[in-house]
Amino acid sequence: MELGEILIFISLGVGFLVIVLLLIDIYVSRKKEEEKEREISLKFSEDFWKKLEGMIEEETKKTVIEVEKKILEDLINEQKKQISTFRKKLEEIAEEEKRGVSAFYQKLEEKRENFETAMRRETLEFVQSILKEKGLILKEIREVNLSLMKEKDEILKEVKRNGEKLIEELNKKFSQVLDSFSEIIKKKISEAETSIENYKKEKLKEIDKEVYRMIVDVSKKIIGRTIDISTHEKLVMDALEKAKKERIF
Amino acid sequence: MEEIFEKLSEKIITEEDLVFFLDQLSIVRKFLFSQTHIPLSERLKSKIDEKLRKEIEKLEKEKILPSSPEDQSSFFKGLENFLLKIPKVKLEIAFEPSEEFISKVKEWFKEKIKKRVILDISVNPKIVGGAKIEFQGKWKDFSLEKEMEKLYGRI
Repeated sequence: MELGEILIFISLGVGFLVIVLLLIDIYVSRKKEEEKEREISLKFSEDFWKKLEGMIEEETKKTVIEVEKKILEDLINEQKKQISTFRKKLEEIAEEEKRGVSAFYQKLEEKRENFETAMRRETLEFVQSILKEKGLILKEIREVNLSLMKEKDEILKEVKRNGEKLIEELNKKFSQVLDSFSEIIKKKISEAETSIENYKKEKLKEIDKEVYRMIVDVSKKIIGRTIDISTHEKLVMDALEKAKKERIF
Repeated sequence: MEEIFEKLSEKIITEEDLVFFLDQLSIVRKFLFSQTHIPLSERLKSKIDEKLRKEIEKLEKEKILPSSPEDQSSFFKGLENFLLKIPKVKLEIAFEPSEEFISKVKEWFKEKIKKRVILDISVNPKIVGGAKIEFQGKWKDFSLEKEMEKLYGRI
């Protein structure tokens, strides 16, 4: 039993005791009114009245005790009954509640199951849709892949074509450059050969000149020494004659 | 007057002769205006070349040379100008010429060219023989050196 139920029972018990005490109070006040009515009718003698009072008091006490007993018994019985009824009711309520709870649990279970089922279904559907989507996506990916592969092939082909073209052009350029280089080198070699030849000729000329110069110088000296004065004088006179002929004077 | 100048400068053949003569004249001119009561030839004794001094003495005796110092100065100035106007012939030859040869050359000019010239002779054995001649801006190489160069040039 839970704490809430215990508190309900305790409050019910306290309520019941309050009601019982109220009922006792009402009963005692009614008894007093009845005795007052009797007092009016039995006004006979003081002794009588005293005895009567004593008797009544005794009787009352006895009655009160009996009543109290009876009330208590009644109360207890009633209480027992009440408690039993209450218990029964409580049990019924508990049973009801149990049933309710059980039903609730059942419903809850059903709902849970429904929910689970729904969830499972939803999940399944979701998974299926996901799978479907996945399939579609995979299909699309495959298609994209295929197109990409095609594109890639095209690009590769294009790149290959361009590369081959480029290599061809480069080869052409390279061979042209090589040709021009070899032409330049040939030209340079030819120029160098020509300049070497020229240099050789020049040098040979210079050497020849030098040799001639030396020959001339030696000849001059030899001839100069061998010419006598009269020949010198004759040569000068001849020079003057030539100058005259050439109208220098 | 030119005849007198010609006679006075008769012995001047080469450039050296001319330079020497002009130098003598400058000495003469220095004595023109001093001790004028003494004849110039007397004043010039042992001052100038004796040949020239005797020529001046001769001119004094023949009264060719003026008596006044001023006129004498003009006379010598005229002589100087006459000498400087004589054209020069530059001759480059290979040997040291004798005086006879120089005279011969001078005569040749007198006879063949009909001109009085001053010979500026220089000796250069490298020209071997012949002469290199320059006259009034014209120059010609008649040396053996040139002939030899031509000969070897052909070789």
